[in-house]
Amino acid sequence: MIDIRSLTKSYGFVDVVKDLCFTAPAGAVTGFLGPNGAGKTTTLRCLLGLASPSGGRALIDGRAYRDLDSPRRVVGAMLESTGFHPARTGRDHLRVVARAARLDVSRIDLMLDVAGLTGAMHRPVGRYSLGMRQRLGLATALLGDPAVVVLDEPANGLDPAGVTWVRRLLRVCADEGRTVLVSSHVLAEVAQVVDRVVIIRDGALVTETNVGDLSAARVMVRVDRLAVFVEALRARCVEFELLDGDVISVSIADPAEVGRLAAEAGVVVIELGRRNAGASLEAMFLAATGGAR
Amino acid sequence: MNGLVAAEWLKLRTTRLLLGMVPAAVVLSFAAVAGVVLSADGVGELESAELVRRLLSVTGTGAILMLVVGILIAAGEYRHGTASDTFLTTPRRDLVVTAKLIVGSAVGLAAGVLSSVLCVGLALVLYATRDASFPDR
Repeated sequence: MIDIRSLTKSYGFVDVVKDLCFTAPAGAVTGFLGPNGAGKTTTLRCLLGLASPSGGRALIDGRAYRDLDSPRRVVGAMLESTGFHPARTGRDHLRVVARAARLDVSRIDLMLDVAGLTGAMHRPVGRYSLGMRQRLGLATALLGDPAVVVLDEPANGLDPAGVTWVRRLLRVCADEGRTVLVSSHVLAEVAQVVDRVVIIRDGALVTETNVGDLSAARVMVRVDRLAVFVEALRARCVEFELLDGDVISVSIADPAEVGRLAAEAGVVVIELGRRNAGASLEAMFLAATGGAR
Repeated sequence: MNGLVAAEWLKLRTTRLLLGMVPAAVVLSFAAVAGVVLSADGVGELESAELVRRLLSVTGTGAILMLVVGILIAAGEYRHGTASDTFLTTPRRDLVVTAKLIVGSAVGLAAGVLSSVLCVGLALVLYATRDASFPDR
């Protein structure tokens, strides 16, 4: 599990990350979202011991990255800035990592197979496509069979098939009980796979929530006589919220129940539906990243 | 530490850096040696202790390229973006630098010895073609 505690990172007078707290539990995919420049990569660099926090701590299973005995076996990470020597073959790249970290060499071919690079493993990485490089990066991250997986924008530059492949890989990792933290500035890339979202903006936390909780108990409804229905809801002490276009967001989970309430109030239901998690996730992401800038 | 040194050596072997630089260093030294031998006026000068000293001093000309190898061993990690991967594996950067120093020194030494031996061999051949021989002392 990943535990970010009051993390602050300043460069000069600028706080790139400000007093950030969040956790990423084992067995779940945690999406780490925010617009470009929000401080995602800086947070991950602090977590991975590549930058020193100015304040607070970033812990992996209770320890700082630099204190881990064999970091590659505990944490598998891929950063956006990660590159490859263009003349080295894909397989040799993994051999170098395995040798430096003293990892089981037999996993090299296994990971090449998982990444679909077996056919290209003897080719220099300079001749790889962007997608192949990204997959090699993921293979490198998973080489040490780590319990914690940290990926910075893993879907960047991938074609739709590649994005789907990454999503599936993240899902499998989490289902195997690993802690998965994945950053992205494009919600759509990860929305389908995340169990949990952490949204940051300007280095500070906006929201940390489980996707399952997001819209669990809400029904969206539009009726012919708004005022009458609102009155009826108030009378029954039902929590609700008025949205654009005379839509009422009611904090009741069952649409049938809302329909019954409308019937009792004598209003005609024009539209009725459950609010899906994706829509509210997107609304949240937009609120955090969009227009108000 | 053994693993790190082995990994640095593997890094060097899996690129073309040494394949290009070691022969280039030898060729550069050869050119310097040949220049000294060919510019000598006659057998008398060739067999003088002074010329042999000059000859031996230029056998190290190719070492400048080994200097470049040393720079690239470190700087290449940043140029190609492999540094973060290296530091993820080994968060203690002093260990990484030490491993690079060990491998770089060993490679430089080996290349230097190889180049020197080949240069002396070349000089012997060039002396023979001009009917000269190394002075005894």
